Amino acid sequence: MKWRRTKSKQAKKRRNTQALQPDMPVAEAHRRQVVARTGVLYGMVFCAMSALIARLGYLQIAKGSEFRTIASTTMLSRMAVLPARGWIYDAGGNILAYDKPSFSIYLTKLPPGSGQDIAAIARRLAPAFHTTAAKILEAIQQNQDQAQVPLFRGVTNAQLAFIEEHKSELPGVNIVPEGQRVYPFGDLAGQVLGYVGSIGPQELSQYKKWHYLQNQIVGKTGIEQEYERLLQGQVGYEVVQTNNQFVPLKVLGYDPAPVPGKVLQLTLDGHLQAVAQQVVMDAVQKVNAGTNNVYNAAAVMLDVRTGGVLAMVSYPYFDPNWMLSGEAYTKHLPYLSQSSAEMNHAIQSPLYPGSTVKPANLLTALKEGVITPKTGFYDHYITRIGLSTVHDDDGHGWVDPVKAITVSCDTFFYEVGLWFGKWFGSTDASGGGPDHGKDYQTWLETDFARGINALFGGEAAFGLGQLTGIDLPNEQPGRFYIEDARQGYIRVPYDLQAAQDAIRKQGYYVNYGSPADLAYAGIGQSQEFTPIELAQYVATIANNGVRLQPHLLDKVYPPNTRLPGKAKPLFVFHPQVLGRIQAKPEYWDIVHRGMYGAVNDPSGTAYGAFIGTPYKAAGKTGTAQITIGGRQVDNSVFIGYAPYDHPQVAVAVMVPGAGYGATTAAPIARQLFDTYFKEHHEYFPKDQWEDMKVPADWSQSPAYTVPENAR
Amino acid sequence: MEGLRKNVKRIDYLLLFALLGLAVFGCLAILASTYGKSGTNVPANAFAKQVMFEVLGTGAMALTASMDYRSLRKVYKWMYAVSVFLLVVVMFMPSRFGAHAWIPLGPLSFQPSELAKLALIVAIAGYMADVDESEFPDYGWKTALPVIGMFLVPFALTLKEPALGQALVMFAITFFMYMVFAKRSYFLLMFGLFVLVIAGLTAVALAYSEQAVVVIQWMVKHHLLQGFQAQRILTWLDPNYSLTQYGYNVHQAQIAVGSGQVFGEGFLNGIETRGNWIPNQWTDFIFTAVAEEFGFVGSSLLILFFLLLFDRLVRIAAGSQDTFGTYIVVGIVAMFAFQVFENIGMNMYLSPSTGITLPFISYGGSSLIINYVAVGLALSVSLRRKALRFTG
Repeated sequence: MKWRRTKSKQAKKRRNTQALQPDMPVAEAHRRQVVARTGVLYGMVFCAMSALIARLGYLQIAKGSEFRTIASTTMLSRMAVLPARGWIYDAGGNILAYDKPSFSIYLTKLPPGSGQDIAAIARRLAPAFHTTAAKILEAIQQNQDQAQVPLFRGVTNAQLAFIEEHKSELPGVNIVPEGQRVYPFGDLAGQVLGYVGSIGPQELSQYKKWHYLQNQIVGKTGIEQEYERLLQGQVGYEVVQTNNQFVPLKVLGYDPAPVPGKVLQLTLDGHLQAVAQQVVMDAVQKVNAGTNNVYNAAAVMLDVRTGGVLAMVSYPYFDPNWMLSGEAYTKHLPYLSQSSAEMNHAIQSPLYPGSTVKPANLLTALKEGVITPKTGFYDHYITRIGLSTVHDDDGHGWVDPVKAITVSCDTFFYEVGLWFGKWFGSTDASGGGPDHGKDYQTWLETDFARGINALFGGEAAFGLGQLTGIDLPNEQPGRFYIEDARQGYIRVPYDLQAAQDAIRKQGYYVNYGSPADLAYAGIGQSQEFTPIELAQYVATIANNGVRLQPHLLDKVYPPNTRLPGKAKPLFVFHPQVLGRIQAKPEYWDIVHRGMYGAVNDPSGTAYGAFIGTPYKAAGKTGTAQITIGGRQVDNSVFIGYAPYDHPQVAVAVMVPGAGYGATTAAPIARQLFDTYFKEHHEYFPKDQWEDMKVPADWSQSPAYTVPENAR
Repeated sequence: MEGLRKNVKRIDYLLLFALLGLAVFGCLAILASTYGKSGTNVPANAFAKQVMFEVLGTGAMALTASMDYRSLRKVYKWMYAVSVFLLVVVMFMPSRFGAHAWIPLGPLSFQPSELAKLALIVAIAGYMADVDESEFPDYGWKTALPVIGMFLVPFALTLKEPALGQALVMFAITFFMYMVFAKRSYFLLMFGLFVLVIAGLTAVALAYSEQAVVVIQWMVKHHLLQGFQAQRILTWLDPNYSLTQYGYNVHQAQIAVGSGQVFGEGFLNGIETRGNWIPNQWTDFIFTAVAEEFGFVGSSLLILFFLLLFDRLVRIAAGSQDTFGTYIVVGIVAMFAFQVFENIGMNMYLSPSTGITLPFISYGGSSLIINYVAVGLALSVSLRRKALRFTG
């Protein structure tokens, strides 16, 4: 009302102005003006909208691809994807290890200010994963320098669903596909295969040099460790589009894609291995039913022509699957901690080989001219060496080199040992003495040292007391010993290399041994060898002196190869000749005949174990005196090869505490030979042929279940 | 001929078509901008709520259209008074997103400044129509003063909330309404001023951003601008200013818009949109969802829908039986057009970010209903005109 009054007061002035258009009422004139100005307004709006579209065109069409790139790259995160580990096959195409697809949970640490509350995440996760928030935080703490921390591996579907559902409360928590290693046959060649695990603190620097990520799963022992770089493959990166909370939205692909590990085929024959494990366990059970002296045992079978390991048994058995989850590990911890199941006794436990060294010593003696093929004497049972006395286990009558092996005459090899050291005249009546009445200490530093060097050196030429170079980690070499006269004749290691160098350079080697060392060395009581050394040694005998490196790897195939198939191997292992022992064929013949007799002659030590074989084997038993748990027991050893006339396989068996070599070790060896020939359809009638398949129910078999419950 | 067309088409179907297009865009954009997101500030069931408010809004529009807008001439002062009262009430409401701009109503909330804009339009239109119909209309500076007064009260209160965007909308409404109303010399002056300001802003943005920064810092120092408002202007002046803090929103928004390219990244598939890289995308930055997922084709179609709406509204304004109707519709066009330009422009560094919603598209029940009521008012103007022809 007020406004109108105000206006009417000014009405006169206004009227004059508006009256410029006299033929039109003022109101109508103004209305037209207003209408016209709506047109102007529309023009301005049109311009504004056009400006928007023009700007849109500039941003989206002219600059669109630039912005798209910015949008795509700033919101991407790269997640390392571990490659699938290569599978391991045996010679017959049985899968010994493979990667089962599984999922892991990782925590990606987000930059400060992202709102990531690690404690809250740990609290959220703990119940679903049956753990406590404190434990999760501890795991995160331990991996402080890592951007991506592995939290859980091999998670269940329910746990995956939990993560998916609570994604928004778990910023930085990702599900990552990873392989879960599986050893389908459990303890079959468990120590040979080894197992995988996280990189340990000691290994870290090595793996960093190889540009490994800290969370990679690597081989910890066995083949898994030996061929880690082949099996591992290459880490890939998954490019993930995330939101600003780094919650993954969409997987865009790999850059680069992970490259799975290469596929290995071993020389190992799974079926033979299974039989061997069964047979070794049965033998151990049999002995332990009476004396309970056996804690471990080992058996190795090699392909004489290639050095390939066909079977490698180390009792007590070990299932690498136990090492892959905390649950399984805890369950089997009592067994693992109270037994030596994790050790591979075949390559790690040197023990007295006993009489199995006699063939080597005989050959060396013949080569060195210590004896001739015609050397022979009547077994005097007791042998005096200086003031001490050693004796045979039996009187063997007239012995010559061949018979000495066949019947395993100790007296013969005491004498051979002494003769190596030019200690002559030892009989049951006389203690003998140095050649030409040499002064004892001079004799010790010259003739003794030369003799024992020759004896041990001959054994070393067969690979005994040496690393065989088998493609497995942590092989232990055997050792040579002498008894130290200054220290009450305790056994001390004899440094063969130093002794040989000293003799060569200065003609003498200061030592405090005694002539008895020569005698003991002659019968294998002064040296300790591993089963793999013995196997390599007997294979070398079978090869007439050609010493091949024992090996497990046969072929390497490209990633994802499935056997049997047509894939061409990337690499094929060729036999590696480590040495050649030069000796007259006549001498080799004597050794072979001696070993043939041990198995095939009724007077032979292993005759009983090999009665009725359709093939002819050759071998040597060993029964060494050892101490286990304070008790004097026998180390039951056998080495052998077959067939006699054209050897294919060689075997070494060692069962410490199991009595005579002929009692326990030889029958095991025979069953390995039998199985090998049945598998290869040789000698045995067709109805006894076997294939190379590992029994599918292996993990239900006694060989799997019994060892753990044995003690 | 115009009368013939009006007789055949009682209702402005093109306008309704434009509204339908905007409603569809709005619902899709809200779905896209909230899809798969969770958080305390993300509205739950935003899409369903928006569809519901579209329906409610359409109803409110129909109701408003059926009402005779001329009856407002009797009550516009009361309307104005109520809206000013509510703007005072909101001062005592709890702060949300740093502003006292919302009156909570149970699960919903009401923004008095939305109502105040409409009330201001009706009030100014009423006053100007009163002047037109006075015995001796005066279009000089003396009639300008009450208009300025009517504008200043809600403007100051809204600025105080603080809601700079809404306050600027009020300024735009008043400016354009008065420009249509004023005498020729004033009109030319205002138009010239408008062109000068636009040119000046463009020049500053393009050529003198460094000097402008100094000026703005001086203004902040002397409390002529609030800190965050200055930051927004600085961000606009210098696209690389404070990318991780004040400039973050606009920077991400422009990336989203640009990365839409010609055909967009696909519905519910926008990198920035799905990734929740643009804070409060469903309100002030909703255009980025459209631009990123539907590209140049989709976002220019959206702008063309707005242009169609403005075209229809301007025709209604021109064809109104009285200047009151014209002024109302001019005010509505000014309100919408300013908001559309300001909102879409800020996503593209075309205008400073002021915290303003995109009419019909942004999430928010009260503003959507007010927008529909505003169109309803315009429809009422258009229908009344026909009624006049029929009866006359």
